[in-house]
Amino acid sequence: MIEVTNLKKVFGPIRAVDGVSFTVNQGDVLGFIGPNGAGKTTTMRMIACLTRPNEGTARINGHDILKDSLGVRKSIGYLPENTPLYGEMTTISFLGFVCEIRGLVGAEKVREIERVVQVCSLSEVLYQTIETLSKGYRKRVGLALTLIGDPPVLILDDPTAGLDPNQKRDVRRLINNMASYKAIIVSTHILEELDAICNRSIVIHRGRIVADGTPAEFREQGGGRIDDFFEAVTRGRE
Amino acid sequence: MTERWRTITALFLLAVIFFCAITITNHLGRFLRIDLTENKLYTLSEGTRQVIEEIRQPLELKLYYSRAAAMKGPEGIRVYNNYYIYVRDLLREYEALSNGRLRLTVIDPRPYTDDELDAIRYGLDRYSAGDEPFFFGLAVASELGRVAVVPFFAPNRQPLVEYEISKSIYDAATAIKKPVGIITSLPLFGPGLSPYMAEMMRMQGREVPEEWLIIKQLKQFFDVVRIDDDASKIDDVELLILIHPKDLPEDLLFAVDQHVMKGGKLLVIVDPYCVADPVKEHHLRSSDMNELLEAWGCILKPNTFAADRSLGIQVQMGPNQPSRRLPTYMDLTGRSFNSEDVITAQLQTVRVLFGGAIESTDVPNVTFEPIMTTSERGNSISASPADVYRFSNPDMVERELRDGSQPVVLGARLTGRFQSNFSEGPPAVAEDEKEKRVQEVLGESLQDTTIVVYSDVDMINDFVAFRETFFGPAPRGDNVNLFLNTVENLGGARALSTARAKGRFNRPFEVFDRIEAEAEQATAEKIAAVEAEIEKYQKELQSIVSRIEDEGEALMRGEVIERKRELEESLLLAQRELRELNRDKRVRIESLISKIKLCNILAAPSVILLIAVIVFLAGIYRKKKYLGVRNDE
Amino acid sequence: MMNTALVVMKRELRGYFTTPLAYVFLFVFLFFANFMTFRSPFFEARQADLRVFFDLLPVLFLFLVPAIGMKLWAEERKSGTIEVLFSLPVTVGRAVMGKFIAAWLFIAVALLLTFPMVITVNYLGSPDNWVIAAGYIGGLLLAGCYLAVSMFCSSITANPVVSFILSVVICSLFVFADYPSVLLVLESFLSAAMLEAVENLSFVLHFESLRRGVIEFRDMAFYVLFITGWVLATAVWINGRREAG
Repeated sequence: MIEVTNLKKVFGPIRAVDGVSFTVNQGDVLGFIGPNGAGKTTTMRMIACLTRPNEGTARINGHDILKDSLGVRKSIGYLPENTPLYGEMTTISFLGFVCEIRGLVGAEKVREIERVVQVCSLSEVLYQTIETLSKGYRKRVGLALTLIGDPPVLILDDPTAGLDPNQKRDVRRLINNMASYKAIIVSTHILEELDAICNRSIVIHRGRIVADGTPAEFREQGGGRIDDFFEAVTRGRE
Repeated sequence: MTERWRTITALFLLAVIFFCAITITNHLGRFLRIDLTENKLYTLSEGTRQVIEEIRQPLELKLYYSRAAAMKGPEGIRVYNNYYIYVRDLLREYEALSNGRLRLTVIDPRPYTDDELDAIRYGLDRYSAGDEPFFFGLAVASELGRVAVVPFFAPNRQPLVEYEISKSIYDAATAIKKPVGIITSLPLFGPGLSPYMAEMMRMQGREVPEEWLIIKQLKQFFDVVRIDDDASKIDDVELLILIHPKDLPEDLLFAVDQHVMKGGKLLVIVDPYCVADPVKEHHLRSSDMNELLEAWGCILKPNTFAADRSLGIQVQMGPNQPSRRLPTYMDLTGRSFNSEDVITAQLQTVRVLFGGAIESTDVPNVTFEPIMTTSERGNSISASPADVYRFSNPDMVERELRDGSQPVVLGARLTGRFQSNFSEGPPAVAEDEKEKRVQEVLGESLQDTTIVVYSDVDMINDFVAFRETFFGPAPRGDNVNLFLNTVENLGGARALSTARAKGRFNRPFEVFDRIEAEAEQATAEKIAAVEAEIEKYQKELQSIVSRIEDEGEALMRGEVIERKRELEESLLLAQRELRELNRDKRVRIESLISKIKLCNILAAPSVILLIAVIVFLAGIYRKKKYLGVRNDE
Repeated sequence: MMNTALVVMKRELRGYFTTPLAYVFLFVFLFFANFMTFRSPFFEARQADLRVFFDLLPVLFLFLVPAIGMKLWAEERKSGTIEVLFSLPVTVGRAVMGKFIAAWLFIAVALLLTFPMVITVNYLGSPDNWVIAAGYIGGLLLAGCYLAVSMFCSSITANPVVSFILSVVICSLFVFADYPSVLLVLESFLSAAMLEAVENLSFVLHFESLRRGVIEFRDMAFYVLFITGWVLATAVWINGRREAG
């Protein structure tokens, strides 16, 4: 579903992403983990066609990110970091807007909104403007947006950031529910999250993949603790 | 970095492409336009199209606009800049419609340039803007020097601008040919040979005499009527031209005389020695019309030639000889021309060969005005026509010519009411009939009329007035202009342009007008009454004041003084009442104005404000409603 | 499938009427338009036309249209919603067009709300309503030019204030392009043909015919090209930024 080949991105003198390759199949939840500034977000943005790689490419659901940006975006639900949203819109009109952009109109649109509202439990804030929503609700609205049109690929940039433990659990549950029929990439810097939602994870450091495996394997290598493993791969090379 | 540069390059290319596209479309002209105005204020009218269609000669449209001065001037002149662009575009439309007969040039007459001089000469209005003169006018010039102008384009007359332009074009083109009559002893019209005959002559190697070019030119603008020597009546001709008239029969002289008496205009071109005259005998090459002109105000002095050292042209008497000035062959320039006469005001140079000297005969009620002269150094020299050839030799002329102190007149304009030369009756009529016929003779011009006399015929002959060029004969100097200006001035058609004036452009506030009319009606009586009162007081006051002046204030009794004070007071009161009555008229309009202002300035924005308030109240209500939900989390 | 440009336009347009900015804009615009129209020369000239109003528009727009245009992209970039927008299947071109048309329609609404003036002059006299209609068309196109410039400025910065100032500066270049004093300065180093080309870039010059009631191909071509050019520039710039990251 997601085939990433040798992605590279340079910002001036900085090599933000330096030859990242991996594959994610349907049913996989890939955890992206790494220190701040490691290149997680940049990699995800390249996959979501928000920025163009200097080298390498990726194929999403058969669409090349360089050649068929529109097709890629049709098959991707992307949740940006910090969940930016149009504050002045109400939840329902925002959802409606995304539906229309994805070509869902009329009865289809109503059905789709009903579905995602139910999945993300948004029925109580439907007519509220987004700027008045709490952080948890905003995150849920953001997630709901990515689900509209049921894209086969989800790319979620730090979906649990800034949430309280209960809200985090809700989001994780949501992701787990969808895991079986989608290919999902989740970035995080909370290690425990890997265990909770991912069946595979990649550690990125300085734009390169430094570890690739299941969370269980990581724990094993870290002597029972993921933190130790993480520290070993990200610090050990300095 | 490379991506950024690619973007910047793309933007730069975009800017260049669109800049070029905009510039190009601007030059595509005005081929597609929709005039939405009710009276089609900005579409060239049918009349204008007709005027343009009827133009038979190329005209030059010179638009003078002091662009540089406008730029330096106050921002208020910007109005003119925008209007200038409109006028320029309108003229371009004329140009586009004319199939090349109209040629537009835009001129910025900077100070102290020939352009500025031209603008002044054309008679354009000159205003000052800052320290530079400001021109904004149009001169329409035909190739023959006919010029019509729009002295100034005032933006407030914008709806009339097309009419003004069309009229000047029409004037410059003079579409309708008016008849002019010509009496001449010269073969002006050619020999009247059949084409076959002409071809025969050419084959025999003989030169085929042709119609004079000046006549050809004249025929472009006028219906030229040739009047034969045996004619005894001249009718339907506004202007009669006599060119080198010799030995006219009495009947014809009478006809010419009566033409002038009827108020017809006359152009007389005579010559003490006409080089172009085909007559072999030198002494027969002279002409004058003194038999008629003497009584009308001037004569051509017989056997007398004008000469001027400062105006003589350079001639070479033979091979390898230095060229010398020949004072009898003159190029008149500058001050030779009367700058106040429309005929000569715009002339630069006119060439004259063996011109004669015209002298006034001081006839009462006729003004004699020289319009073309030699310089003050000029003088006249005498010789019989038989040996005039002497005067083509500079040495001979030099020997006889003394510098004069008075310019010699070569062209003059006579205006006024002329007396008939045939007041005793028409010629060639038996004595017994004369009594009867004398009744029919007009003894004096019916109205003021004009006679112009020139003392050189050669100046309109082909070999002087034109020069050969690769493209055929071209006018030399202003000889042609002089002749045509004169004919134009005396016999020109000044018919009204068929280009209609633009329709309604004034759209007043009818409501205001109505209110004013009503108010006026309502207060008219009162105002009249008060005005009458004021007049009464003023009269009484006047009489008292004059009595005081006569008798002295000290002697006046107290009651008179008292009365005066009283009067002054009531006068003041009445005047105030009048002022108030007049103000009442305005009050109703003023109140209407404030109502309109109030409605417009406050009403519309308030409605917006109201809607905004409602929307936000609704928003706050919604927020409150959902606040619970948020707190429940 | 519904055109995504239209969807974007709808969303934007709805956005206007849910923010106070739009109402502030309408209020200010209508107040100044009316206040300055029904001032000195109007009642003295006693001419039943809206010339005074149309003469006013170039200056009025100079400050008000950039206020509308400044947020078009700057705000999206500031809040990061541009990421949401472009992660959706919508091309840059369509998004730019949608936003532009929305803002333009909004200004059209503002212009239409000056209709009491038309009623007023119709009450006071008998104006040539076609001329007034042409004036409104011209006004709308004029606003489109300002807006296109403002949108571009908005796309190159994330700061709405910077965007506003930049748009006012650039727009005034085009407003004053045919001012005699400006031309005088340019005259010193531009050829006559270039000078005319620069003068031809003036918004006001091309508004001239329209407010007189004459629709000219040339002016229309100018407006269309000018607006297209700046809108295209916006798209190019945003696309460029997207690629650069």
